[in-house]
Amino acid sequence: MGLVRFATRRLLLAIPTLFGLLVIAFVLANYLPGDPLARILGDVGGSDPVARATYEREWGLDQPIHERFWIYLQHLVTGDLGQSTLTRRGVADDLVEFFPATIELALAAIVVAGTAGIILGSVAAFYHNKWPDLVVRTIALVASGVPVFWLGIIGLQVFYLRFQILPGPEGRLGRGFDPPTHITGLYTFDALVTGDFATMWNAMSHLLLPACVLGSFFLGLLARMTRASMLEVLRAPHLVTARSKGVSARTLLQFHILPNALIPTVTVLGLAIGGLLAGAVLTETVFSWPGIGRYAVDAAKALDYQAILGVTVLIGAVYVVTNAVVDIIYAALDPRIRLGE
Amino acid sequence: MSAHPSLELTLQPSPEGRAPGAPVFEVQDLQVEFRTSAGVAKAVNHVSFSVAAGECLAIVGESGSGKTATLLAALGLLPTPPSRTTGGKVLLDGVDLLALSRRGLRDVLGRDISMVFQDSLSAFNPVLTIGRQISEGVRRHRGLSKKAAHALSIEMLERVGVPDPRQRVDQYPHQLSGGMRQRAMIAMALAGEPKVLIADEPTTALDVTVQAQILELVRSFEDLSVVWVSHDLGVVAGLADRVAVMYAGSVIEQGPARDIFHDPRHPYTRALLGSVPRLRDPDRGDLVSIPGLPPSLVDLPAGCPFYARCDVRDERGLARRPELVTVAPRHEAACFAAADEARNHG
Repeated sequence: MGLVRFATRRLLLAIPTLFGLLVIAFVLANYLPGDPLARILGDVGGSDPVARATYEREWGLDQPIHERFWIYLQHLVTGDLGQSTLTRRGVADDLVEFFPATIELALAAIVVAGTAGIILGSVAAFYHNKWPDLVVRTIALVASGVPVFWLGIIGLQVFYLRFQILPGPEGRLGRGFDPPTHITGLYTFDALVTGDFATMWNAMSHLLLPACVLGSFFLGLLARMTRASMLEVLRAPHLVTARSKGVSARTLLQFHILPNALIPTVTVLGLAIGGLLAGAVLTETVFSWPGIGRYAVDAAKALDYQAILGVTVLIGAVYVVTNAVVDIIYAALDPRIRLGE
Repeated sequence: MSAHPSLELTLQPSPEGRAPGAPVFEVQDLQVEFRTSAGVAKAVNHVSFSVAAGECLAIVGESGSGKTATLLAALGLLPTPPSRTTGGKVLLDGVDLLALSRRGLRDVLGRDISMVFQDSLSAFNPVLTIGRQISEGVRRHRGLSKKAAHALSIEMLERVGVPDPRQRVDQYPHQLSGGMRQRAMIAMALAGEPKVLIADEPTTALDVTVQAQILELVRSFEDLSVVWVSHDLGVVAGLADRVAVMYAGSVIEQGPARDIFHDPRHPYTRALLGSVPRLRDPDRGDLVSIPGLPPSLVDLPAGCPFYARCDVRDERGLARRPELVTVAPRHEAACFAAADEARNHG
């Protein structure tokens, strides 16, 4: 029961955070440098005071900032994030179209970084100061040290240009493939569910390299975190107690080592989701991935401030929600958090 | 620092009514080394002792004297590396634990012999309930169901005097008080009904009142053989049938508790008890601290390890290491002077 109470409280606490995020994002977007009207109305219209005034009135831009925020909020609760001046569509519609691609990429990166990071970290800890430990530490250092855009380009050079075993930067699917029936917007998943294995395979091959590149930083971070916490648990006195009771090796690993060692790892994994969304901007550019990162870059270049605001709010909201979920998982794993120290 | 009950009050060894039967648990000539950055530390040097059924042996000595290393090595619980058991036997009912396979050892630990640790907070797994941890070992040994194991945990908590066992059993270690947690740990150690209990300074972290309760609890299990490690002589005096004194990784004196407390023969034991007559400084009253430090375990002297701090030393101690010799009935000391004295008077 302690967990339900904790989760409820934690989720309620996320609401003021989300509100604060909205305020800050709105104010920042409001003070973006440059003249959006000039962009929207063109060179001629932008310098025409009458055209400017008409547009400002139409969009409520002549109101004070708190009024405009109120208008924005009212639209937000109905799911309306305003119009993109770049795509001439609703920002919400744009996000619905572009976000699944980013989610698919980020999830794939998490899977790569999570499994590889945890396995490598554990191996390093069990072979502490032996050669596997050294190899893992080197991989971790390189993986989290190399910039994403460089790794992406090198990856393409090696696997696409030289060995030609992975597709080039052509987006989510190769030529001749149509997106599968829209269910979640994640092509691999949708193709799997509809039984279109050829498309699924093609989508996966397009996903592999960007996911590895995007996940590399967190792979390194997770490997080092897992290694450190695993080493700490392996030295913990309670492990000697458990062994003194004659429990099996499996019990030792499953109930004594892993639950304790993975608590810090889960935290990093949760934070990684937010970081991956941000990192997606670079990866998506390198791989021509039609996701929210590229949408944000295009919007920023065009001073499309409704779109910029929409992306900021969306990514921020995902961050806040994943943080809350991580805290809840943390509490589920550690009774000291759940029940108070 | 732990609370230290006054020695005068508690210097009353339990009566020697129990006949020393055949040893249940016996450590023979145990040697343990640690690889450190400074070199190989000889933490345990030819240590031998035994406990009979229902007997309580106390192992005393200052920190770093090898008490804990001896016992952990005896049960195969020292991490290897950096430690290495280089020789000796550890017999439980005649079976050498050091010769057993990992699996064979697991079958013995928690069933025939179990251990209680000093710091109950770090000795419990923080993410599992007390009840789960109490019956965890026994569940494997006896193949108990989850339900039966839970019932056993409640029963054990009740036996060690934890109030509200039905509620406590589903709580986590951090939710119990220190004394309560130490009782729970004893419940955990005794859940498998072992013949031998190894207790590694289990009362050090507790206040005096709770200490007394824990001692009372351990004494109430009459058939249990206990090896009780402590640096607190007050605690030992109230509990032990026999005492072994360790110094620099060796047992330097052992005998019936009454003898050790009232007629110590080794100068270190005497110093430890604070009752040594100072030959060169007769005006000085009771000794509180022993001057000097124990020798480095990496660089043990060839002779007597206590030589540098000894007030009855002579050149024999510089050259040779004294063996344990009988100085009184069932009472041994590793000291040339004590051996001389015993010969002259006996």
